[in-house]
Amino acid sequence: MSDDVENNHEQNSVPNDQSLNTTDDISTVRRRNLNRVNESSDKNEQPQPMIEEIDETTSTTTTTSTTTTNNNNNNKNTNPETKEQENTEEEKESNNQFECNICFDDVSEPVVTQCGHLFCWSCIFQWLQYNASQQCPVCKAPVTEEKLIPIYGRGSNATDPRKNRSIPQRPPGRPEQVRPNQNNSNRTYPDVFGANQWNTQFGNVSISAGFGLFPGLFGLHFYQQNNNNNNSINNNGRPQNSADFESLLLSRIFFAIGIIILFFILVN
Amino acid sequence: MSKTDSSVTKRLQSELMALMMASSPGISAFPDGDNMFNWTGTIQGAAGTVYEGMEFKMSLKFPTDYPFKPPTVKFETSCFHPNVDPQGTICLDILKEKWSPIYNVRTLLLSIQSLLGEPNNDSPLNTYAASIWENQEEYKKVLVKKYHEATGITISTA
Ligand SMILES: [Zn+2]
Ligand SMILES: [Zn+2]
Repeated sequence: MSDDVENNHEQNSVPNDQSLNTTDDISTVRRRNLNRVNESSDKNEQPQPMIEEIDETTSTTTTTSTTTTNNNNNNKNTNPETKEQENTEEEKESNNQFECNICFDDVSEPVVTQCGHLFCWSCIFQWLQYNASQQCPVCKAPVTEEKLIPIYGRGSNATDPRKNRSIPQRPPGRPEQVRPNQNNSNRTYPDVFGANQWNTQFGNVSISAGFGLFPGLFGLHFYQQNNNNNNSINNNGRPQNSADFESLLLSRIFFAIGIIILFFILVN
Repeated sequence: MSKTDSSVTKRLQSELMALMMASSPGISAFPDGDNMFNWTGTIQGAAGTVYEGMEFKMSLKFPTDYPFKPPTVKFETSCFHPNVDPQGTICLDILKEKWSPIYNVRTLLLSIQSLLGEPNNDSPLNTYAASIWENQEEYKKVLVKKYHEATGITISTA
């Protein structure tokens, strides 16, 4: 008898379409139950996707109890206490948004999946070790460790280093790489004065002419530098900000004028 | 070891808090004494189902790697149902291969409560229960008799 039961049982545990149907059925009823809870909470909550709803049960429940206390206070008329409680309620709700979907606690070393679900790094890492199908616990979307995005808040460096050494370091952020065609941005820069050519001609001697630096008519200053880059230009050859850009433009205009005047002096 | 235990305890405590503060219709659960890893719960049959008016005692045993692994949930009160075996074992996908850490005691008990009224008769543990499910009148008669045997409580068949 019990052997038969065991055999049947094993058959049932095999994932199949039927079991999927069961989940759907159960989910709808479960949702019905949750809706009942929501109705009783007297709180106008916006309809959410089903799984989220289940996930939010904890927050719903907290809200329910707080709402009842608020109602009691409302009978005594509005007083500062009510407002304070409303505030704490809001705080609670906003805090819940940043709770890990696995440990139900505030996220530590937060990472977000491509599907947008928030976890502690240690929690999602452990889940991926257990879960052969590598799915998001919330929405079942595929999750890969490489595509997790770490979230760095303000003061995030203050968090304690991970105590559990069996969990590797959280993967670093992978910012979008600078596109190669950004080299073309040199062309957007006024090249008419030939300053770039001058730079290449002079090797690692970079030339700049400044308005305030003119001792005489139009002084030219040559600066010996370790690399070709002017201080106000970053590696991409782009000015760091508009002020630098303007001063650079100005200096190049004066440099060009200086060259022209020098040329006339020499010719004459 | 102690580190993981404490994180499991922490999560179970937050689940307990949520359960105590919620108005969960027809379900309840509480740890057995000081042991956070063994809980006892109850499920009441939902209104409008043949299980209406019945209450079933449940046991929940949490593994040390909870919530990465599901708890073992069983009927302690014998339950006549297509997806429950005589030992109280439940055939429910989210307790096995469909488990996700986002489920908790509350959602599990609500799911089992739903399962009572909406069995999966295609892969039954109790083939007899599955075979008579379509005839709700007969099903209720057998169910009430079995429930009386298990609890001594008489439910009217009317
Ligand atoms: Zn976590
Ligand atoms: Zn997701």
